[in-house]
Amino acid sequence: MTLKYLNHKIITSEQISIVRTLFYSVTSCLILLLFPQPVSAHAFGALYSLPLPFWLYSYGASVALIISFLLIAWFAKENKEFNYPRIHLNLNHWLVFLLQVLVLAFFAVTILAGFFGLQSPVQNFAPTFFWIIFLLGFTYLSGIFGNFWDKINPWKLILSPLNLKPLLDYPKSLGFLPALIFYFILIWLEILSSGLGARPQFLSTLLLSYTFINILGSIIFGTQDWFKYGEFFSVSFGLISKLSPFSKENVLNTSTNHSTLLLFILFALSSTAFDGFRSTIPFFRFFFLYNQTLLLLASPIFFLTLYLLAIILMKILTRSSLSIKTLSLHFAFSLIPIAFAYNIAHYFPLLLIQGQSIITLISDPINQGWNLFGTSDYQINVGLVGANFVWNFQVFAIIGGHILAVFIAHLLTLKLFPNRKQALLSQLPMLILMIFYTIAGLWILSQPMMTGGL
Amino acid sequence: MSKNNLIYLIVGVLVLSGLFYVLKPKSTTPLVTVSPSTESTTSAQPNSTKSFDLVVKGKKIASGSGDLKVTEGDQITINITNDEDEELHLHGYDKSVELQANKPASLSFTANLTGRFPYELEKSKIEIGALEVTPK
Repeated sequence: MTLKYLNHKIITSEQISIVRTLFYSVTSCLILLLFPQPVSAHAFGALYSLPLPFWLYSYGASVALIISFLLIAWFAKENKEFNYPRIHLNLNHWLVFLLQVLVLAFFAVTILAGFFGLQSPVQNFAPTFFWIIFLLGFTYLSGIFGNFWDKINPWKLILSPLNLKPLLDYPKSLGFLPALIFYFILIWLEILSSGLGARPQFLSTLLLSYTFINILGSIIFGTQDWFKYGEFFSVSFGLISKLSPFSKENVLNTSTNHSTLLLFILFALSSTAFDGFRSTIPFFRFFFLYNQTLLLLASPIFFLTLYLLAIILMKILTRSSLSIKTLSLHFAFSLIPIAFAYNIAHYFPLLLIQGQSIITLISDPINQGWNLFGTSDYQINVGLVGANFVWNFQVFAIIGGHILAVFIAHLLTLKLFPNRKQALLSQLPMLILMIFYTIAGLWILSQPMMTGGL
Repeated sequence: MSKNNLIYLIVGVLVLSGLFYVLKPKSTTPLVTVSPSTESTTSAQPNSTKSFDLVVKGKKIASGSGDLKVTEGDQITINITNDEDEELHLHGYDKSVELQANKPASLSFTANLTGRFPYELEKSKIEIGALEVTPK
């Protein structure tokens, strides 16, 4: 019927695209009907990590405690001049250009794959690429190599050449609020949407909508301000890159200028903690009646309260004339390593295991039966990292983050209090806070887990 | 690096490695809690055979806990009876077994991957429990 109909018409390109969409939908439906169970039936984003054994939890907790006071003793010993480590690196502009081309190509492929590929989260290129390779991979790479995202951000690449002048001045009092809202939506889609965020077509629609929002934001507020305050990934990767020794802007030579940025950092901490915590038995015991979206929304308040308590204590101890707000913004960046370490400890196994499926998917990104790189038969090796490796990795990542956080807090202290005695006194509340955050992170990782409902 | 800094570094490394060595359990047999009714352990040796009898009613485990705790290398048999036609799928190991309503089915394999692997009723996409394989 369809063929006959087609033969009698002059086919416009629009009709071709409709027919093609139909064709893809019909074939994908057929394939889904023929194989009701996905061939490779891994749940999307499933973590296979075992709870930390008790001895490793106690080890991590005691090491965090001992190392903290060792660090304080070391800081107190003599007058030391510290600087945040800085390695200069000149990027070859051809390399940057190559990366830009690659990033735009991957952006296009991801969107096409979501619309036209198979509609199964694990067999489609888009969800694995976006949620695992890009979101986790770029977070870790930014922490190590600095803010390369700023040079290859596809939305910025598209919008920067237009050199849009702002129609309105960005209301600076809002701070990083748009980015913070996007952050919440992103995490909600990642962990609480029951798989909605991993649906290929939905994901591509989302990315296109986000592109549209970025265009709109740039037209209204100008490219520069929008990408500074509004675009989520620029804010997020920008913050993490402040830890990198390759970064021009690090935790020491820049500072938090708005409370929304402090909330952003606290949400990075609390959302990861929440994701770990919500699959444990204690969570089910105490919180299973509550709405998880509200709990996620409330989670940074818990971390903020403790942080503010430490700041108030610091103000009392040092008799500083600085306001609590100034103090709390000043020390905000010292929490970045803890948030980064939580993220690595919790999600890195996902990148190592499920991230492998990108090897298979990339050979046939739009499910056309291609084998571009000869890897379309690659099978995920679940045994690549065993439980022992994951356990040790998690504990050392968290201890590493703790040490870096204490170090940064010390540097920030010296910047603020030239008086040594005052500096050391001010350090104590932050130290206690960090020990608490670190032990809380380890505690969550050590809790027995719960599957299904009660 | 000054002498003082070096001392702090050495003390730090000693604390890290010393505590690790002291706290790490010496015996290689991990503490496995045995849930009474669902499990019958035939031998306490490493690489033992373990079988679990699971009864699923209304998409939930009716027979005790759905958490199956074993040690790496164990021979596992999962006997499962469901009250409707389904398929059981074990993640990670990627093993499946067809379930016919109220007929026992079983899944046998060696636990050579360590970690926590949820298993689900594939058609209803409901996770009902998890296999926890502790390293030796």
